[in-house]
Amino acid sequence: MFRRIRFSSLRNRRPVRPLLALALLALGWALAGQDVPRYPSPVDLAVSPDGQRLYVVCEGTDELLAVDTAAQSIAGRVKVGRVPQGIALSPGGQRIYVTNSWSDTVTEIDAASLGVLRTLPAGFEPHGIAAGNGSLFVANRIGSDVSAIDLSTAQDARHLPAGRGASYVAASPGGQRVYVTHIYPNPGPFRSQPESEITEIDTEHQVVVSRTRLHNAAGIFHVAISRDGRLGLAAQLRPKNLIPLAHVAHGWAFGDSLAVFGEDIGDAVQLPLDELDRYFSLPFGVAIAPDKSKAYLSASGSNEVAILDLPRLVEAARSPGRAALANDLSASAAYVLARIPVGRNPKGIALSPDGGKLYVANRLDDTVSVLDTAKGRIAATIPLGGAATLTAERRGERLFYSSRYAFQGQFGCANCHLDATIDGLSWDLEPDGFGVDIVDNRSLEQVGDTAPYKWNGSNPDLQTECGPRTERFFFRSQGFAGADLEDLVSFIKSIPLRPNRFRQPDGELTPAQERGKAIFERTTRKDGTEISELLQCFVCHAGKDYTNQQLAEVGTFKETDRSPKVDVPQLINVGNTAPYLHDGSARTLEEIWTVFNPKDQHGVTNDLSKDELNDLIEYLRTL
Amino acid sequence: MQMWIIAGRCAAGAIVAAAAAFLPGAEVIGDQKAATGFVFTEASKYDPTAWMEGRDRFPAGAALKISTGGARRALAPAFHASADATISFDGQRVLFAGKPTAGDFWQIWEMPLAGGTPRRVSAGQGDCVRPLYLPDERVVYTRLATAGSEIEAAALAGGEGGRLTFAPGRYLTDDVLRDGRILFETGRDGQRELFTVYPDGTGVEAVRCDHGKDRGDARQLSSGDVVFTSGARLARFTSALAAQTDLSQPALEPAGPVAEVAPEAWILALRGKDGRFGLYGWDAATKQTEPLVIPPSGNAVQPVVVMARTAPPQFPSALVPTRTAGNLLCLDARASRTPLAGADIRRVRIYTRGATGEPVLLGQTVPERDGSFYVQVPADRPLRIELTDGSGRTVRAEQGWFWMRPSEQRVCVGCHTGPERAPENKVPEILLKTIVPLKMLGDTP
Repeated sequence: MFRRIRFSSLRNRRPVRPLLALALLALGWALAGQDVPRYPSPVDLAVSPDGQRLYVVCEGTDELLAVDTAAQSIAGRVKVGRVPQGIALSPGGQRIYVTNSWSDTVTEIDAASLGVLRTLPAGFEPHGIAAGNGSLFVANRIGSDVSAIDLSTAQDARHLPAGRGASYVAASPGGQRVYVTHIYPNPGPFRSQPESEITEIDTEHQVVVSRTRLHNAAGIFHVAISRDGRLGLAAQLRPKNLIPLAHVAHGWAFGDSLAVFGEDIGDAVQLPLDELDRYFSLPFGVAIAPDKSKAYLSASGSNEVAILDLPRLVEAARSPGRAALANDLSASAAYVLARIPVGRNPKGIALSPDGGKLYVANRLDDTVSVLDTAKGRIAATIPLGGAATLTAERRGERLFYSSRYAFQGQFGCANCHLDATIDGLSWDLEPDGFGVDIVDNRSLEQVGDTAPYKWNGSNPDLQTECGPRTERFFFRSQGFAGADLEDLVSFIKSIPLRPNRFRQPDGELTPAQERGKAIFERTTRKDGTEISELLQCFVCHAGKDYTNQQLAEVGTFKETDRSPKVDVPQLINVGNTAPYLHDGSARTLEEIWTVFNPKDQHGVTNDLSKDELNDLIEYLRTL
Repeated sequence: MQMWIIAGRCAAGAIVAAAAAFLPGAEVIGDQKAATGFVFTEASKYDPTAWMEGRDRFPAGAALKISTGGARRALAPAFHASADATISFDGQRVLFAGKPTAGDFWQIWEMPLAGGTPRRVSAGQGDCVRPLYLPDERVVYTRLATAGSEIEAAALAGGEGGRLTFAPGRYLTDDVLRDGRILFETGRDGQRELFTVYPDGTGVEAVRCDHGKDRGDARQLSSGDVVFTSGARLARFTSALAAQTDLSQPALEPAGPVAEVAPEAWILALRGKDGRFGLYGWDAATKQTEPLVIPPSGNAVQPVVVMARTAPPQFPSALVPTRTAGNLLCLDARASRTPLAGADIRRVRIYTRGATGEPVLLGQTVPERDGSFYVQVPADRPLRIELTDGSGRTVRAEQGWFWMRPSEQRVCVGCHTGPERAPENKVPEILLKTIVPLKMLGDTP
């Protein structure tokens, strides 16, 4: 997902003059652009209404490529914003809209000339996009909302609440409705089953009209609506984070499935894509044939595309025993017709207008596979160029997103670290015992210099964390070793920091953030008494990553924990990484102090007012 | 008849000329592997199920032959008996069961396919048969005894084997699956069933719970399907289905595992009208057989293709050998693929096997409202679970035994749910109540 740019060495996290910081960042960007190989990394696709152009969003080179579908060659390039993710066409195909997830904008492009017409504002980390009723509807991942961008005024006119990590959007025919999915589960009680939703928006009135519940699902990806508007499909994960991960067989770690919803179905139904001994790992892209005969899905971890018999899928979704099918690994035999190997890490897929060709963006191969849907085989593979040599980071990225190392290919690193982030879940990992040491899944941003690893700090380096530990207790099969392991670690260390949305563009803190900073760095209580050093926030959360890399006892010990001491976590982009605490029991930053710090063992906070805690949170979000 | 030419469909969908009768210079190309010949066992007498009754499958001896480049030769001509060949992952060596003299036990040996002096791998007394390569420089094989058999794993370099099976019965190694598990069959009351176990002896379970007829002689194909004999027919397990499926097959009765030359192109041992077994090529696409090796007397069985193949992933065992018990968590004792007839399950009892074969109760527990229970049981001992109702009546009891290894952490959806049932994501109520398993250790220290 990300370019190989190392900001960490250029960035000073302690007070830095804003202009100097910006200059260093710019210098780093320019140097990186010269020295680091860049790969197109296609993530999403759209086909022009006449089928002659395929538009490919390349997050690695910040481009939109226009591919001549007849010649199967690149016919044009458009520079867009940073790390583009999603694409939509205007109803007639005259305009192309590309979301720029790191610029928080949408680039409007003239399809005929491939000229950039406008840059439109969006929310925090825009991903999926769809057009409807004169507006664009953009899912903002960090904002967990949907921007309604008025095309006449070019304003991000309205933000509608969606699920946490809102990411993908599909419009109904005519654009009266848009359907939005999200990749992180909505906040819920500790150790409760994850809940997700498909948010339905009335585009005319710009209101949320329904939230289709997806129980026990977390990680909902692309969504597609049939041409008659009666059937929706969304690719999704069913993680098994609440049961001890003592083995992997029989879908014990993840279920790869499909949410089926719409008038054809009634209540949403979740149907599996896995088999007994073979998994369709990390389903991502989804498309529905114009005649509703077939559906197509990409598996970004298994490197495959599945062809589904849609009438049989609907039949299964309507069957009396449909609820039980979600965990039946033999169910997919009824509706999965074929699984076709494609390139590495297939992401977005798009059908030609006649449904005869399916285009698949192979992100980590920098190619597009062309599936002949009538013959059910790959007819061509279109190269998208990019750096010819593979860096260690790129090789490691391929390992990170591959599911081939886990037992029977069930999952990969990216299952829990979605797009190299988090999954918003707490897991019961077996090596500590059943029901013991429930652990929150931590972010990978800037982890390179934060050893030791694991919440109990038992892994001294990333090689240990990602090598023998992952092999023995997660994959349950031969994992990474030797040069592969070094490549993987190189990639993880290279995962760049996403722009912090809570910091002002000029780098200055708001008054509230300044007040919060003062609380973070205070050494005395409000009554003037001294706070012991170990209870001063900035003593443990110290250094450029806001961790002293030590174990600390902060009063969060539970009977299910083996030790009261936990590794001090880094606080980089902490506003994005809920839930909190070692076991994920705090749903929000505020709960850390209002619920889980009654004795002031996790910093002194009980003398703070509600407003002061809010100030502290405002500051923490800027880190 | 050595002019057999078949057509098979390779994984990429292209048609390849396959087998080509292993003519001089002929190759089979598929997934970058090339079959350069095949190995088989020639024996005057062959009783494929004799092992289930403690008898020798080759009571009159046997001889491994290799057919390559249109020529045949004995692989271990100095041996009184040799059989059960399997080819190394690099396609260069052969592992087999052999007896240098008639008075020797069957032991495991290895030698280069190109020829040379066999090297003994297994150690100790007793018959060791059906060896298979493991990907970590170990081998797995079956140790036969009068009262039963065991599956053992040992270093390929040689030495004492370590047991992988810990329940009474008769076991026979069949294959090492592409996911790294060991596929084996058990025999009881004249019926065989297929099971898998991880290479450290953990996780023993049935391949499927559809209870098909007499299933054995299983081998995994390049597609991932497992083909085996079921009764007098060939049958298949495919990843997508919870029950065995039939497949097109020759009219003659098959014996022993198939040898895959290319997808849909196999070498089979078939019983001729005279009752003897010979080797035939079978083209599933055209449904035609071609005789390959029909000895003038005796039988030709156990075909194995000489071909390099990708080694399965190594299994990273997490066992702590010094422990004496394992933990078992069941999510729902009431879950079953076959109805429990409205029974009210109140107790879960776990038995081990006494010195004279009698069941010995290790303990009992009350499942939680959601059916979950969490117990600690002795390692490397036969175990059996029984469900009872409020009056103590047995509602369901396992017929066979299973086992757990030292420090094994075992989880299951239910007591009889089948491998097709994935778990529901929900904290088991027993783990909300306690994280300490109920000890059912009997006399285990």
